[in-house]
This record gives sequence, structure tokens and C-alpha cells, in this order.
Amino acid sequence: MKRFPTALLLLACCGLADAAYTPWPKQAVQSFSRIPVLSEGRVKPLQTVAYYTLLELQGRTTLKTRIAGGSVKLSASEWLMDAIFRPDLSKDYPIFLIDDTSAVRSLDLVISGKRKRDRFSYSELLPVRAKLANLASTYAQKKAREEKLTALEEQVLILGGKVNDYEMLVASLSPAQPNRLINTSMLPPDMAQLAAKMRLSEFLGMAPKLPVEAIEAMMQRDREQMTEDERQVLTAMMLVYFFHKTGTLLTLFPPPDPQRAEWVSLGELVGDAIGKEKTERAWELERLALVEKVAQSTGDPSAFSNNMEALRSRIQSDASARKEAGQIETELRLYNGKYLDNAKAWFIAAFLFVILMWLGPMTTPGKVFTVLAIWCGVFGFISLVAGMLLRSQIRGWAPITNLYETFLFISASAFVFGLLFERSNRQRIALSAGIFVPTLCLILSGQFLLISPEDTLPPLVAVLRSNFWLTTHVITVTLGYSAGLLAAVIASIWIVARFFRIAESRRDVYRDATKMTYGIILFSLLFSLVGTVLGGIWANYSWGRFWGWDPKENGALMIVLWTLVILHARLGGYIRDIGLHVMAVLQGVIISFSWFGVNAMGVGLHSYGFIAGIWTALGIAWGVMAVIIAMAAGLKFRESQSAPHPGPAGELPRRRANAI
Amino acid sequence: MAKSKTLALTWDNLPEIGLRVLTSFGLASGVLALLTLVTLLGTLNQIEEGLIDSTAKYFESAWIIDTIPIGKVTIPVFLPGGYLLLAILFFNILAGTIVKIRRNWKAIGLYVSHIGILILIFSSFVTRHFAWEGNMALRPGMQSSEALHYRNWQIEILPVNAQGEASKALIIPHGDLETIGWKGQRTFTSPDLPFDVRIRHAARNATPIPISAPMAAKSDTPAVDGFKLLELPKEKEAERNSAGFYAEFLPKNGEPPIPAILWAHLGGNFAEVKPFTLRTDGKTFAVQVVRERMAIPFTIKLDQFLFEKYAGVMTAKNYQSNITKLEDGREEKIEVKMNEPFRHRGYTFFQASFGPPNAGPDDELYTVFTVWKNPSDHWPLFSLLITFAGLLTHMGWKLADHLRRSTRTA
Amino acid sequence: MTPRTFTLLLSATLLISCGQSKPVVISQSRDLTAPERKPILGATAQDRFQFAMPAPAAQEPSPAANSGPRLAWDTPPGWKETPHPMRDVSLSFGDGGECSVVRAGGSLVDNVNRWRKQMGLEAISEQDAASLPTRILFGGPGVLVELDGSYQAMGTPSATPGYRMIGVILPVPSANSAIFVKMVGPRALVEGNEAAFEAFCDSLRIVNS
Repeated sequence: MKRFPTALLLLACCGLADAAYTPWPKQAVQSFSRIPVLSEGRVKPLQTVAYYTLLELQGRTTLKTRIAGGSVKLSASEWLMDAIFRPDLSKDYPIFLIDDTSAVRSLDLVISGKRKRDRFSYSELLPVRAKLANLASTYAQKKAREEKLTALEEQVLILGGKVNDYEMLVASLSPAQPNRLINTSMLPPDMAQLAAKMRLSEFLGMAPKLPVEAIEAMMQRDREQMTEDERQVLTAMMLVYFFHKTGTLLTLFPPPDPQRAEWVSLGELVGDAIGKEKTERAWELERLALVEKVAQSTGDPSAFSNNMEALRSRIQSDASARKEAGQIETELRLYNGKYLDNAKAWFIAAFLFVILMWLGPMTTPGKVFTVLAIWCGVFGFISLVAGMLLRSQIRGWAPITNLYETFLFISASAFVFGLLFERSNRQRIALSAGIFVPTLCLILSGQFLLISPEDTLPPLVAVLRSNFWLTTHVITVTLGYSAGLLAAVIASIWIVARFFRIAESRRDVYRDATKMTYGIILFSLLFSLVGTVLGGIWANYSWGRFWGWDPKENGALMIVLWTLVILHARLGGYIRDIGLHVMAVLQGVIISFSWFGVNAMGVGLHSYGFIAGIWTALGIAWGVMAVIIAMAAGLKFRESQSAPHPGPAGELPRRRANAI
Repeated sequence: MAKSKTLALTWDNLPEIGLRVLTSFGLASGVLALLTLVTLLGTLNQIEEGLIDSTAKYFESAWIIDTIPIGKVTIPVFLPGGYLLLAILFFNILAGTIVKIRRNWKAIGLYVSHIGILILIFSSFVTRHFAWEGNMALRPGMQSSEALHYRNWQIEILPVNAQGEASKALIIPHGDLETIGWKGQRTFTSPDLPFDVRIRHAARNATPIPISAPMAAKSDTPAVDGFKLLELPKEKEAERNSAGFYAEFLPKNGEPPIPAILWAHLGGNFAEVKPFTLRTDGKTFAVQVVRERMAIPFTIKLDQFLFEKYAGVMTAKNYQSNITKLEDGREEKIEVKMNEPFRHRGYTFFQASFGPPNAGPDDELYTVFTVWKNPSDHWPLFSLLITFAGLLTHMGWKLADHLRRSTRTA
Repeated sequence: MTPRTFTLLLSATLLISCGQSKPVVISQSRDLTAPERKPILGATAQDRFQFAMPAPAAQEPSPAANSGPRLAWDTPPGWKETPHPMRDVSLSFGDGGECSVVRAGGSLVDNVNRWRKQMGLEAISEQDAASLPTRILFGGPGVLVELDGSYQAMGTPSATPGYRMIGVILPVPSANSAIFVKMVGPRALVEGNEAAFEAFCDSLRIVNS
């Protein structure tokens, strides 16, 4: 071996280390994922924090990257473990998604080989870190003054926020591993040197009591007049102070004092410890040491797993002692069971079978595809409902408490409505619509998460904390939305089919479809009317007025009013089949406005889920609906040209009032 | 019955034509469609003008005259207002229900549900004209028996005795002030006062401005004590407007008029009122602009305000006021929470909010109740129950019909 | 006919002849609640209108705003103007140094302590504040404040150590207000710019345009 040049040996070792990504032991990942953390008002598994942070940073919930020539796919938890415990490796992960990479050029960063929408790694951004922070804070101030930002400025602001969030997240365990700072240039050289060899639990085990304010006062003192010893103490204390201030994002430790509402982050824990007498720091030191053990055993899989589990069970039992253990296992079941993803996949499959079925509805394959579509839909429905039940179980609230959950509920209820109406005439139109609506809604729910990458189970604001009203008003109104959307889809199918003269001879089918649309509209009226008035009664109990012309209230009212217009115009004979379907499509426009548009207006009491990017989606939807209405106009024109016919297919006779 | 026989337009036929129009589905559909449109426009208008002004302009008006900017184009709008439309709808339903619906047992559900809707519209009418809404802010230990209006201001004149005390206030009500406007003027008189009050400029939102400030050039009022009054654009949130008046007190003894700027400053819930001091005819008066108020025939005392938020976020989890109701020497302890208001003798107290804004952890919090006096408080609930019962009955009939028919065909 | 009735009649006639509507008779009144029975009397216009604030819409530059007295100064070399809505003058220099002139109310000791708090320092007593050194500003006796500490700018989550702040407060009792000139930044940077700050303070003046 002696002949082997040292340089070559080193190179070989590097090659070896680079050869492959070492995955974390499975057990350690499991323990890490299940660590309870109090975040945004709720105790949740650390995995959920990792999941939404990764979604916010890079627009996906798993990370695919190339490490040393090999392709690696990491779950959110594995990514967070890398980010915290292997900063040298993970700082090269391309996780910062930016919609317009030219924003980065405005930071004087030379970039090459990036697409317009692309991802950057922390190392790539590090050279312009300070400039990014400055610009982002300038733009944040500009925004606070309600000045308009350019698109590029907006991008810089978003990127600055992402980098900051990432640093905070990674720094949250730094007190237990001062040698693994992601960016040592944050510290002066003497402090960085000390950090590389410091073990905080040991230091806190012997350091004198010095409250944080005292450290601050000490930092004011003139260093010229200090002795060398004093200066060394100061450096150490400033490091403690640094960790105290930066390690604050993850509040992991349930405090023993039941009066203290907030959990304690590692940074706060360090500050608490130094502020106490040496002898009173046992609680803090024990927990800090647990994290340190984890951090120091990253090279030894079995020790790492054991230490991680020890940390998790300590936090879990601390939380249980406070009766704040949360629904960790339920939440993991929800996310790891992928109920909502599976539901989406089943419904997409069902929808594909529906398309195949329509290629030859009367043929044998067509019948087989129908059965397949129904079964895929049923499996999707079961998966969806299971997911919704788990979500309800996690927080103990009825299934709809925010905008995201309306997607899920409308999906499930539209499928049920579709099957029910399908039973009445078996023309596979209701079935198709009943599969199309959930497919679309579940795809949109995914898009919605990208626009607003936040925990979809946030704590409920005070006014919503009532399961009685959440079940009565919210569910009824949402059922009204769901039935109305189904009617709009069926009406669209009807208009498009008539326009392209599909099965023109089957007038009975068209007539039955018209009847069905009308029936679903009446169904939707019942739910919307009752739900809207119930909402008024709720408002009368919580805000003191039945009706306040608030945008969300008005949206619901418009749905009710428009349904009543359809009903009475039909009774009066002012609209026939085409008119009815056009009005049903318009109902879809109104529902989508009420569902999203009013939230995107940014005014009013009900804007619980404000989304800026929603207008684009609405614009597309309304564009499609406008095309369908134009088709209906064309259809009407065609019919008026061939007027001698004794009445168009599917015409409904004029009826008396009580014949609704 | 509803066979449409064409009627010639003659004087003799007029009543019947009128009745046909009034009871027609066409009128119902048209009014409902217009209501949908008005609701949409009134909702969009809130982005620009805020809730209160949009409500007044679109939903509580007989006619809507407005312009809507879409990009660079401005579209003029002239439409019947929500109030008028609801009134027409009311009579349309009333007449239609009486004339049109077939009189047999099968139609009972339709009758009932339409009556429910009539009650709903009527209760909105009663609320609009007879309900009063205000707020009451209390610190722990404080008590009160009056509520203040959120938006309306009134001028009060307090005759002050030699000891500097006043026992009653003469009120120039909001209704009389509101209609004056910036360019108009109105004089108020009272046999109890040795002077008349002439308001020469009135604005719902205004600010006094020192004459030294450059902005003072924009004001067209005369200067008083170094200040002028400047009319400001109305705030989007109507409760943030502070009314201002340029007034002249005209002594009845012929002395020269005394000018004054009267101004309501918002100044939070417990702000000290500093009135204008008027000395004339050897007497002293305090003149103040305060919120319109409603006396409540019992007293509410705040014992404790409880606020609970979720850990780590600013989201409120619950807030609750523990109060004592004092009435005829008797005390009663009551808890008012979100979604659990306190109702008594036609008055309703809702846990609306709390303060102060940006309170620190150790600051004492105060509570704010919204206080309603609404004769039609519970009518929407009755209406809903009636409508729902009607719809269910009707659907039951239909279902029975349907089943009978399917059995027959089978 | 008593003189008063006569006057009333006369004024009524005048009003009618001016084409004005009849006086409205004040018919409403209310009994005052206990805390309201002793109104504050003799408040001056300044007292009554101290909370008057021009609304944002009123802040648009009007022709009138461009004339009349205004603040003038010489920007020290190497400093640059960074306009700020809440400040009369806002300048920046180096990496993280800034200097501002603002007007605000409050007592001297409160204002000194506000600055001390920003620098993470203990509050001082009124006596201590009164014994602070003076520095001439606008020809009047201003109070000089020099502070070293960890600076926490408004709205930022954490303090940055190693900062220095130099400020001058000139109370203007007649307006119940004070003028504040402040320089803050990393210690070395501020120390390097003290001469510039001196020159800046001396250059502050009111001009008529």
C-alpha cells in the first residue's frame, strides 16, 4: 500500500463516497417522520412539515435529483433529513423553483443551462445570498406600501422568501450540531472556528447563568477593554445567542409547564437553559443531548435509528403528558396511504373508460367499458371517502372547513349524484358527468395546492368552530354546488352532441337528458336554497345579521336566484330544451364564480381561502363555457332555418305551475 | 286555467291584463334574472367602493345609476335596484300564489313554500326599516346601557351649569345632518337654546387642517382658530369615516355669529370626547359630535374577557365575554361567545371582536359586542322551516305520483 | 313684543327672504350617563383636533405643497437618497448605514428610550435624559444621543449586534413635537461617517420656495 500515492488514495475515497447516495435507514426515516411538532397552531407529524415545505420550495412533494451520476428519489422526510443532517450534500439539491429564471439574472448571477421555469440549488444561490436578501426585503417593503411590483420583482421576493424559509428550517436543529452550519459565512471567523468544535450540551453543562439580555448587554461592551478570557467567554456566549436566535422554526419540545401554550424550539431551549442556574438545566440538557446523539450518529445506521427513535418517543411522551399528542398516526396513514392520490388515479382511469365507451356505446366493448368505468369510479369514491374520513378524524371537524376540502366533497357527491341519476334512465350521460366532475375537481385540487402550498388542515377560526353549522349549512350549500355543476356538465354534453349531430335520430335520448338536467337543477335548488338560508341563520347567530350582502353570501344567492329563474322561465314556457341547457351552463359559470371568484376578490368576511392565481383558471373555464353557449346559439339558428319541423327533438310541453 | 287567451289592449281589459302581468312567470323570471344581475354587479362593486356603499347603491335602492369601468371603457348602468326588485317580487309571488297555483291538496306544498319565501322577503323589509345595529365596547369592570352606531354621527349640545355639569344633551340627529351635504346648509333651532345652529358644510368624512398646512388651500371653509375643514373621500370601510361640520351659532340676542368646526374623531373605543365650548348669553354649552346611540333598558357589565388563540399562529380559537346583566336591581351572569349570542327583550348581543389592536401579551383586553334590535330577528328561521316543509311535501307528492305511474306502466 | 321675539321674527323673515328652508326644530334629547356629566370644557382647537390626520388620498402633491417653507439639506458625498414615506429625509450609505430626519411627538425621555430600546439598551430616567449633551440643530439646542448595541430595526424579527446609533433630538414645544435626526449602521461604518453626519446636521435648514 505504501507505494500507492496518497493523492490517488484520496481520489479513490472521494470516488467511493461519490459513487452512490447512502439512503437513510428505513427505521430512522419512520421515526423522524412521526416526530410530533407544533406547527401553525396544530400538533402534526414532522413529515407533514417536510411535505408542505418541499411543495412550497420546489412544487413537488418528492425530490428527484442526480447525485454523483446516479438518480435518486427522496421522500419529503428523507429530503428534510438530508437538509438537516447532510447540509454539504443537500445544498446541491435543486429545490428552489422559480417561474422565471431571468429574475435570478437581475441578481447578477451568471446562469447557464436553465430553462425559463427551473430549479436552483442553495449552492448556486449562495454567491448572491446577501443581494437576494436585500432586494427581497426592499420589495417586501414596497409591497407593504401597497405599491405594485413588477413580475420580476415578485419573483425575487418569492425566491428570497423560499431561501429564507429553507435556512430557517435547516437551522432549527443547528444548536445540536454547530459543526453543520449551512452557511458559515454568517459568522465571524472566531465564532465559526468555535462552532466547528463546540458541543452545546457540554458547554451548557458548565456555563454560568447568563440570561439572554445579559449576553446582549455583554455584546455592547468594548472588546478592547476585555481580558483574553473574557473575550473567549464572549465568543462562546455570542454563539449561544446566535443559536438561540436562529434555531426557532421547529417547535419540537412540549414544555413541562402546562401554562406555557407554545412548544419550545431548540433555539428557545438553549436560551432558557443559559438563563437558569447550572443545576436547573436538566430538562433542557436531556432534550438537547437527545438531538445531539442523533446528529452525531449519522454515520452509524443502527445507532442513528435507535437515537432517532429515542428522540421521537421522548417528544411523544412529553406531548402525551400535556394531552397534546395529536393524531400523528392517523395523519401518517392519510398521507402514506395516498388516499387522495389514489382516488385521483381511479377517477382518471374511470374517465378514460368513459371516453372509450363513447366510441361505441351500444357495442359489447362499450358495455364492458361502462362496467369498468363504474367500478373504477367506485374504487376512487371509496378511496376518496376514506381520505376525507381520516381528515375529519385528525381534527374532529366536519369534512368541509376550507376551500381545498370543497374539491374533495364536490368530487364525492357529484359521483353519487351521477350514479343516482344514471339509475333513472341508464343512458350513461349522468354516469359520464358524474365521473368527469370528480376527475376535474381532483386534478384541480392538486393545482390548488401548488398555488397555495400550505397545510390543508389548518386550525379553524373561531367563527367556524361549530360542527352543527359546518354539517348543516356548509354541506348543504356544497351539495347544491355539486348538483349544479353536474347539471352544467350534462347540459354541455347535450349541446355539444346536438351541435355535432351525434345520434340525431335518437330524440328520446335527448328528451330524457333534458328532463334529467331539469331534475338535477331542481335538486340543486333544494340544497342551495336551504343551504343559503341556513347560512343566513348561522350569520344571524354569529355576526348578528341574517344577510349582509357579503360577496360569498351574494354568490350563494345568485345560484339560488338563477335556479329560480330557470324554474319559472321553464314553467312559463319561455325556454325550451336549448334554452334550458344554456341556462344550466350559465349556472355553471355562476357556481364557479361563487365557489372561487368571490374568494379571489379579496374582500368580505368569508374570504377564508384567498387565492390570487385563481382568475386564470376561471377565465379558461368561462371561455370553454362561452364556446358551448355559442354552439347552442348556432344550434338555435340551425333549428330556426328548418322551422317547418313540428318541434325540435326533446321539446318539452308547456306545463302548469303545480306540475314542477 | 292558465290557457293563454290573447287579450286585446282595451280599457276594459286593463285590470285583467294587469293581473296577468303581475302574476306571470315572465315577471317572476325577469325580476329574478335582474336580481341575479344586480347581485353580481353589487358584489363586484365592493372591490372599489366597499360593502356599505355598494349595499346602499345596489341592494337598498330603488334605482341603480352607476358606471362600471372595464379596462379603459366605462359602461353606464341603469337598472332597477334590489329594493324595488324585491318589492315587485313580493307582490308577484303574493298574487301568483293566490291566482295561479291550482287549488287542490296536491298543490299545498307549493303554497306553503311560497308563503315561506314571502315571509323571508317581508322580514328583510322589516330589518331594513326597523332594525338598529350598533356596538358596545367594554373594559373589564365597565358597565353600559347604550350602544353606539357603527357609522352614523350626531351633534349633541349639552347645556352646562355653573358647576360645569350637564344632565342632558339636545340632539341634532344623523338623519337631519346626512342630507345637508358640503354645499348645502340647514339651520336648527330649539326653544331651550339661546341660539340657533346653522350648519354650512357637512361631510361624512372630513378632517380639520391647520391653515399652515399646504393642504389647507384645498379647503373652501373659512378658518376658525387656525383650522379649516377639509372634506375627504369616503373610506371603503364606512365605519372609518369621521364626520365634520362647519357650524355657526347664531345667538338669539343679536350678538354676532360664533363659527366653529365640529369634528368627530374616531380615536378608538374609549377615546375622550373633547367638545367645542360655546359661551354665549352668559351661559356655557358643550357641543360634540358623537356616534348615534341607542339606549338599552338594562345594563351590561363586563366581568371578564377570555381570549384563546392557537399556539404558534395568530388565529383566534375562541373568544368569550363573561358579563353580568343588571336589571331592576337583579343580577344575572351570562356568557357571550362566538356563535352563542345573548338575547334579551328584543336586544341581541354578539361577541363581535376585541381590542386593543396589536395588543401585547400583558395588555388588558376589552370586548366589543355588536348590538342589534331587530323585530324580525327569528323570522328567517320560521321562513326556512316553512319553505322546507313546503318543498318536502311537494316532493313527496311528486314521488308518490311517479311511483304510481311507474307501477302502472310496469 | 320682546326684543328677542323681534329678533327671531326678523331672522326668520331674513331666512325666508334669502330663500332658505325653515329652521329645523331640535326635538330629540337624551339624559347623559354618569361619566358624560362633566364634559371637558375650554378645549382649544389644537386639543380637539390633535388626532386629525390628512387621509392618504389627500397627500397627493398639490400645487400648494410645492410652495411655502420646506426642508433643505446637503447630501454628504457617497450618501444617497432613499425616499421613505414616513420620513422627511431618508439617506443611506455604505453597506447597511442609514440616516433619517423625522418629526414626531412625545416627551424627550420617551424618545431617547425608544432609541435605546431599538439598540437593545435599558431605559434611562428623566433626569439622565435631561443631562445628555447638547448639539445645535436648526439653530436650537438639540439633545445628542450616542448608542452602541444590537440594532433591531422596526419590523425585523431579530437584532443585529455591533451597531452604533447617533441621533439629535430637537424638541419643538410650541408644536408639542420634536425633530429627530438619526444615523444608524454597523459600528465601523457609522464611526467612519461621523464627520459626514455632523456636516449633514449643520446643513439642515428651512427654505422658502
